[in-house]
Amino acid sequence: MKIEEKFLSVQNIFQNEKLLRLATEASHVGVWEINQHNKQVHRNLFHDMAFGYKELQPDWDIDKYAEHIHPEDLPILLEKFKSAQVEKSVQNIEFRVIWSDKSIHWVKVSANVDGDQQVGTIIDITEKKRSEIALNEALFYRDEFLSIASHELKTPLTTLKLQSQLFKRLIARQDPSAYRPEKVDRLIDQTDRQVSRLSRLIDNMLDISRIRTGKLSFNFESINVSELVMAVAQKTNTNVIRSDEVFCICDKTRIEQVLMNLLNNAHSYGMGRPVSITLDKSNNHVSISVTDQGMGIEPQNIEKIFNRFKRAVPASEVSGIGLGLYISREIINAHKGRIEVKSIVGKGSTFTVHLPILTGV
Amino acid sequence: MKSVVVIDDDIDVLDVIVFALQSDGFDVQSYSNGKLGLEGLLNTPRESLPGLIIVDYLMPEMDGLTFIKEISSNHKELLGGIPLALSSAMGTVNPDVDCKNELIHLHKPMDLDDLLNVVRKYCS
Repeated sequence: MKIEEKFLSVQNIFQNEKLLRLATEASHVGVWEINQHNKQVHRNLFHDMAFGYKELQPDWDIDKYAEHIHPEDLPILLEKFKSAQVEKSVQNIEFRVIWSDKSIHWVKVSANVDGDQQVGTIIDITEKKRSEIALNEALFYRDEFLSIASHELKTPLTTLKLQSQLFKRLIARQDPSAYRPEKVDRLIDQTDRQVSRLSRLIDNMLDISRIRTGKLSFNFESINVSELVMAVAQKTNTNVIRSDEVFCICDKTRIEQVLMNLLNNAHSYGMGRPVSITLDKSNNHVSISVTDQGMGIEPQNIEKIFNRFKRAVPASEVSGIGLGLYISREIINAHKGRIEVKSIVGKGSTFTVHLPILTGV
Repeated sequence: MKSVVVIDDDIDVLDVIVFALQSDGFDVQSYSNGKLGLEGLLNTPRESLPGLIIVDYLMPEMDGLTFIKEISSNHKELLGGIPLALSSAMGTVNPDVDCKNELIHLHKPMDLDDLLNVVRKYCS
């Protein structure tokens, strides 16, 4: 080979090396190569960054990996390296590494193992993994929600279906019990209750969809909050402790929906003990508090109960689909107000809605 | 004719099932959760035990699956021979337990005829 050709060939190598370096720097890919003789690892800065270092470390031998690889992931990692050696193929391995500050991160290693030569890349995939975990969690709650929602929809349908078939049967065989006033009254009451229950469930599901698409609409007007509090208290057999006369600009139907939700919850979780409601007026706020004397809420569950599809107790304990408080908070937020909860386990809970009197909404 | 026990926490579902079965001449005992149902059954003289127990799956205090497990583990001798109809709005639910009792699945919302046919089969 002539000297000019040799020069061009070396120049090509440098050119290719430069291109590779620029590409790995641009894509933040760590590269590594294990020297089989002295067990030292030749690598770039991004390799070390994947293990939590801000600068390239002076040296790195293969034992240093053991300091960083999550002990639970080490066996599978070694297994994959063995497969790569036997199959002489590229292995992609995702595993956890522990940084010096004890934080856990996910990396993806592509290893090309061929005889003595072991080379590969490493990239930090922590964000991707976090998104995957969050997505799986969201899918789990969605599936659980669908299962509970279908149960909640089928329960009133069971009553309605059995009632209609039963009365049809009784009438067909001219059974006098089908016409007895007390039986007919009970049938009408039960039907009304189950239809309201179905309607409420469907409204909640529609509201969730409206919130997600930003289409929850409001009709703001000046309303007598005291009258509203008295009305919902009467509907739910709730004691009114105090109800100051106050007017407020808000959506009457939506605030009624929030109060009914809080009162229904208080009665459901209130272990049959009395539930009370209080309306207080301060300078520029109204505060409506609903208090029960029920099971209370564990401190770690307080924030959870406002999340979509989540509830503090299993569905087997209290029925409902776990949407009410999420919707209520969205409604109160739209009124530039807030909902807070104070609870003592075994003693009961107080949910308070704070609304500004002069809203700028 | 043997009696039938119905256990469901939904007062309206319980009410209509009891009314339907009584209208067909059956002797019915009803309970609002598994715990009360089990207590009631354990206090029943052996000769008056029901021909069938209809138990809801999702209930407070003691749900249907726990009820079945409780019978299978602790009351096999007294209650192990009574067929159990597990009524559920969650599809077919199989208790992960060695259950000696015959198991029947009733899917909510159920047809009145299906309900009556099951009760007639075991209680008539």
